[in-house]
Amino acid sequence: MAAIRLSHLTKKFGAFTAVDALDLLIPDKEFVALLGPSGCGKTTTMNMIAGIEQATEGQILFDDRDVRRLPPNQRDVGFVFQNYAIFTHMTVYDNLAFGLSVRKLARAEIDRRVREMAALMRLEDRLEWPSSKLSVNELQKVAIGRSAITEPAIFLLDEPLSNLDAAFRAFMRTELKHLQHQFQQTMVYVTHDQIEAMSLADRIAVMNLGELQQYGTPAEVYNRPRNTFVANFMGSPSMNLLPCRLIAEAGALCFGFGEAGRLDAGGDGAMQHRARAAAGAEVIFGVRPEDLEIAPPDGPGGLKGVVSFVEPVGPRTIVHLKLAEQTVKVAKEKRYKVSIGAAVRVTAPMAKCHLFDAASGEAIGLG
Amino acid sequence: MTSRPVFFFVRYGLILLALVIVLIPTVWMGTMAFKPFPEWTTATGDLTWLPKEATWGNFEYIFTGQTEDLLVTLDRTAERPILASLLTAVLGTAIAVIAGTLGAYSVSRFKIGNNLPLSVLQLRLFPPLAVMIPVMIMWASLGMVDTWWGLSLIYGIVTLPFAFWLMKTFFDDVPIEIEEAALVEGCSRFRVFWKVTLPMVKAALASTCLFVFILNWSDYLIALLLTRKDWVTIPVYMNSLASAMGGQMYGCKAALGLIAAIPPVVLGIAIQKYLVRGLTFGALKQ
Repeated sequence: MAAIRLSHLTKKFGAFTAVDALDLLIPDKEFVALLGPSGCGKTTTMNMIAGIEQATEGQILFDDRDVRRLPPNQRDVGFVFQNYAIFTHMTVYDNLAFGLSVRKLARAEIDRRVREMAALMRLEDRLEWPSSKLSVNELQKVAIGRSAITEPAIFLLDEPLSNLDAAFRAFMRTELKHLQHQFQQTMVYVTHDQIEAMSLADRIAVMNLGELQQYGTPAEVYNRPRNTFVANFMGSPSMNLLPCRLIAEAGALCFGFGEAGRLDAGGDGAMQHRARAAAGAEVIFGVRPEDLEIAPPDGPGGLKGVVSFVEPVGPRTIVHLKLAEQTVKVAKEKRYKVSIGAAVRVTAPMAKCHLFDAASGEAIGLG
Repeated sequence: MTSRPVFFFVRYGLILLALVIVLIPTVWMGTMAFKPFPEWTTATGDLTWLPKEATWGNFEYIFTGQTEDLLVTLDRTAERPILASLLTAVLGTAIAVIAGTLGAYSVSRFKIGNNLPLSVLQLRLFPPLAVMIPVMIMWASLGMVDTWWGLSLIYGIVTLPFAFWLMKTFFDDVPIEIEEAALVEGCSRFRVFWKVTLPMVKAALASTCLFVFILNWSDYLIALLLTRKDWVTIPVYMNSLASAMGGQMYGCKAALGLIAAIPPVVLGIAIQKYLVRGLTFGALKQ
C-alpha cells in the first residue's frame, strides 16, 4: 500500500518531450485514471511508474521511497498491459503462478493462491489450458489475475478494457472496482475513454501533449473544466465551445454571437463576476449539450438557429443546430421530435455555462 | 485461390517435377550403396536402377578396409571420419548457436551495437577461399590444424552469422511487453531471457540448430584445408575413396553418403514438432 508522488517527472525521447514536468500525487488506496488522447504521455507516465521506462528528469516516490533508479522487479508493482502480454508457452496455471514462483514461495502456498485467484477470476476450468488457446476475454482475466496475485502495493493498468467486447467490458469494469476494494491497492489506470475514467476513478488526471491539464474528482473535472481541452474531452457529446464577444451595455453584460443574437449574462451573480473578470476580452462560451434548452423561435432572448441534423443515440436525441456562424449540439430526451429545417431558439441557463479565454483556452474566473 | 483444373495440373506437375529432380539422385545413391563392384559403372555391363546382386560389401569395406570383391585394402576406415564429423559439427553448432543466440538477443533488445548485425553479416560476404587461406596460416601458427577443437572453432565462427541473423529475426518478433511483464512480476533480466523469451523462441532455436548443423556437417572446403589425417571428416574422407586400380569407388561412396545422411534426418525428425508448429506468439491482441 503506497501513495505515489510524481514530481517534475519528465521523459524525453530525443528531441520529443513525451511527458513534461508532471507533478501528481496519487494518494494511498485511491483509484486514479490517467486520461487523454493517444500520444498524450499517459502510457509513458505509467511505464515510468513501473520502471519500464527511465525518467529523464524528476522524482518518483512510493510513500517516501525514491524508486526512480530501481529496476521494475524491485518496485512491487503489478502491471496489466494493453495487449495482456500473456506467456503463451505456459499454461494458465503457470501464468498465474509466475510472480509467486519468482518470489520462491512454497509450492503449497502457490497452489492455494493460484486456485483462489482462479476462482475469483472464474478461470477454474481453464487452469490446465495452454494460454495460447484462450479467448480475448479470458486472456484479460489471466493478465489481471497474474498481476493481482502477488498483491502488489501499486496496481497499474494500461487500457485494459479497450480490446474487449462491450458486454464484457462493462462486467470487467465492475469487477475491477470490486478487486480494488478487496485488495485496497493504489490503482493507476490509463485510458482514453472518458466514460471509463468517470465511472471507475476516484480522481482523474487529464493529460494532453505531455502536460497535465487538470487533476480532480470526476465531478470536478466534469463540472469545472480548467480549460477548453478538458471541457471538450470530458463528456459525450462534447461541450459546445462558441467563440463570442463580450458586450457591456447600460451596466448589463451579454455575449454577442453575431447574427444569431445575444445571450444575456443576466442575474446570475457568478457569471456576471466571471464575465467582468474577462473585461472586454475575446472569450469562448462553453455549455454542455444537455444544459441547453430549445424554445419556439418567437420568444425573447436566446440565439436563433435552424435544425440541421437530428441524431438519435439510444437514450438521447442529439439535435444539431446551425446558428449564424456556428453550430451547436443540444441533447434532448429520446422521444424528442423536431423536423430538420425548423427555426428554433436556444437558451442557456447561465449557472451551467463556462467561460474561457479565447487566446489561452484557460477557464475564466475559476478560483 | 483459383480452383480451375488447369492450374491444379500445372501446380502439382511442377511440384512433381521438383520432387523428381531432388529425389532421383538420392534414390540412385541409395541403390548404389548396395551394388557390388561390377555394377558400379557400365564398364562390365549395363547400369540398372536396382542392384542385381544386392550386397553389404560396400559397408563392410569402408569399415573393415577389405572385402572379397576388391583387391585393394583401405588404409583408413570410416569410423574415425564419422566420429570427427559428428564431434566437430556438434561442437561447431553449439558454439554458433549459443554465441549467436546471446548476441542476437542483446542486439535485438538493447539499443546498442547498431552496426554489429551488418558486420556479422559481412563475415559471409567474403568468398570462402579468400578467407580460408589466412585462416589456414593462423591455425597453423596456433597449432590448431588437424585438431578437433581447431575445426570445431572455425565451424562455430563460420556459421555464427547464420545463427545470429536467424535468432535476431525471431527475437525481434517477441513482443517487448512480454518481457516487461516478466520484469514487473519480479524477474531479473537474465531470468526473463531464460524463463520467458528463450522458451518462446524454442521452435526457432530448434530450426536454427538444424540449419547450422547441416551447414557444418556438409562442409568440405574447411575440413579439406584444416585437417590432414587424424580429424579428417566424412566429405574429405569420401573423396579419398578412390584407387589407382579401381578408380572411383562409387559403391563405397554411396554407402558412406547413406550413413552421412542419417544425422540430419534423425535430427530433423526429432525436432519436427517444433519445425512444424512454427512460431506462435499468439496471446497479444494488437
